[in-house]
Amino acid sequence: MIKIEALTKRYKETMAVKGVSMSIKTSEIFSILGPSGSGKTTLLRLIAGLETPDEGKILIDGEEVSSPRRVKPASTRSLSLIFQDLALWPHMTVRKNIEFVISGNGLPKRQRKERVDKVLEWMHLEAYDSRYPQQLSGGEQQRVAIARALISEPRYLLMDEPFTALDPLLIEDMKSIILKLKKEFGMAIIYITHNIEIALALADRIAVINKGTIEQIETGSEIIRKPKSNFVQQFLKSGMMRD
Amino acid sequence: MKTGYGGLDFLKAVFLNSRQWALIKNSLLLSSGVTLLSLVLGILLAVLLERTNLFAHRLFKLIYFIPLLIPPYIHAIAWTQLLAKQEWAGSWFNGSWFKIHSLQGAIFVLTLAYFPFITLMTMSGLKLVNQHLEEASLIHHGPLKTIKSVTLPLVTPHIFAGAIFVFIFALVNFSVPDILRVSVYPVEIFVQFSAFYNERAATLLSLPLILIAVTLIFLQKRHMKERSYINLGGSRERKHWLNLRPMVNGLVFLFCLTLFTLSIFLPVIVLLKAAGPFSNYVKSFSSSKEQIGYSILLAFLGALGSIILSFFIAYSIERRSDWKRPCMEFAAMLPFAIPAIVLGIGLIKVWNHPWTNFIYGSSAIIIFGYVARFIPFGIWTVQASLKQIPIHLEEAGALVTSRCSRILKKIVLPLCYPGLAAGLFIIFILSLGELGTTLLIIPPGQSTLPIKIYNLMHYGADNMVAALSLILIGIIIVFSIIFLALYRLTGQTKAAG
Repeated sequence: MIKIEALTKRYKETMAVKGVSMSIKTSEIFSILGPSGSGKTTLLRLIAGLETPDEGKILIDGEEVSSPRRVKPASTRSLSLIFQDLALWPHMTVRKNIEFVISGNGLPKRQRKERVDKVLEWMHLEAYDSRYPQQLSGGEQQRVAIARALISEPRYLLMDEPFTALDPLLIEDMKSIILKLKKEFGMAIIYITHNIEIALALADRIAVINKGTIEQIETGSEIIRKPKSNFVQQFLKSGMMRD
Repeated sequence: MKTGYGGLDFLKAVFLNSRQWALIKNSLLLSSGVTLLSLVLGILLAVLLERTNLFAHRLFKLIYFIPLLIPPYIHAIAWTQLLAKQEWAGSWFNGSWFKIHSLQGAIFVLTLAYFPFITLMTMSGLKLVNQHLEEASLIHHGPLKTIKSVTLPLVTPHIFAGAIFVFIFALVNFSVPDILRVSVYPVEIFVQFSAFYNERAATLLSLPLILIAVTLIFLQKRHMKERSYINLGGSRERKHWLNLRPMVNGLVFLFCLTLFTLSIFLPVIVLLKAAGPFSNYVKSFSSSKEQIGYSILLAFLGALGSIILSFFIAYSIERRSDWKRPCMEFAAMLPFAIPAIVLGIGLIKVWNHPWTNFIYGSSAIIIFGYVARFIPFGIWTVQASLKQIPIHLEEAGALVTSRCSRILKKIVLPLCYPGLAAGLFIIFILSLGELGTTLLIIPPGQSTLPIKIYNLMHYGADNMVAALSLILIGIIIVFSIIFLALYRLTGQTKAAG
């Protein structure tokens, strides 16, 4: 479980995240939903250990990993993060992009190769393993990014706007991948989106965030039935968050 | 086989002797040594400044490039003063394992002069690295592995370009090997031309240098492709994710301080000591007023001419996408391949005729020399600016006016301001300290400050040499401050407008 307590993060004069408290269970699909600039990405980066909070703390599986005094390195948190721009390393092939994640962790070369082969097969990327990211289509790059995130067998998978810039077919593809990930790997998946339909379609629970503050955390149906603030009500009416 | 230069026997006499092998060996050892050491120091410093929480990193970022502003021969003068002429330093250093007047000494001095160039190029590359690429590695690995496997490979083109240029600069440098009495090609070329009046031999001797340098420029251009050498954009303040522990931070801070002491503070202190009392400065300044004024004027005119030409050349290159573009880019870098002495010989050959004596016998030839030597820097900086101007801004202008000159004047030039200003400044500073070409083409009865320093050195006037060297450094620093102040002021005025 990820537990966040009174988390606050400031960038100079701007309060990016303000007093956020919530918990995310293992094996749940959790969506953070909000407009652009609402603090979603900052919250995700705080969970990943890429930012230091100014106040509050984050605990993962009972262990304090982030506080103003100390931030445990991202590499010790048993999680993976897929960036919005995918951040595939352009100087590495697809295979190397995936393998690099588990290199240097004591696994023998043969076992590393087997794991990489397995993940490539799972994501239907066997034919592309010697290509470079810039030689792939957008959908193929997305699958490489997911494969790279999975190879370390994380307990928590964080995804920053995984549906942005995807066409309708790829959106459906991505949805089924996320559901398959939950079913087959049992990991918690936390993804950011500004699209309410996608949040409602996939998430077990949704946190609606606005100007750094959590407005409501409920299941999708509860949010629709009982919006707790004007903001949530307005956003339901509009149907989709504007960029 | 006739070569037009006296035939095969002459070629044999020039090239096939044991001295040639010594020259090749020394020249290549010098360039390789300087490049390797500069790479180690330059990359390390760049990573420390751009990616770590190093103590005083903001201050170090302001001063790291100062060694580049100081002409290399001033570094050589200072170190010669310290290690060859100061008994306490010389005996402490124990000249048996390190002599300043040696190949090692030349490598040492040129490394201190040129390593900031590698830092500059590497930092330019580091600023362009997508932060997410490094963070994607930090999710799974520690900072050192990320730097080794992700960060440095991504800036390899910039590092490679920097290494090639440092190699070439060291290969074609005349002043430092001359002062430190190291036999390398540029010194030999100068000797053949100035001492033996053997123009043919001097010209032939330049060919290996030019061939090596041209090949290297070609290689680095292929590697660099369309990337910009330097980053003029105001990049977002980046988080320093490599957190050094306090003890490590302290040690690294001491290392940086030592580096800057060796490359900036110690040479200045040595020169201050050698210059003596304040009256020496007054005496030196009074006797060199004309040379100082002449140097500043020529440097300014040379920089102005260079930057005007650079703009048009860079614009022509940047706004085309056909096969001519890489050829033009390559040609624009070729002046780097030509040693200063050889350029001087070339200018003499071109302009030393009765019908062009109005150029040859005047200061115009020196301005031509500065333009020829340093125009690539102007092209670099202007290209860096142009890369940041989307073409559709000009296309929007074309909807309003059909006059290309108006578009250039009202749209392109104002947006190119950072590149033009940076280029003007760099070329001005480099021209102010230029020695190799000026030595050969200076009109009779005239002298620049670097030439006066060079001549006085050979007369053993150490006090005056030190004082004038410090005056030259002082002028460079004053103009640097004026430039920065003007740049910030005009930048704010533009923002407010």
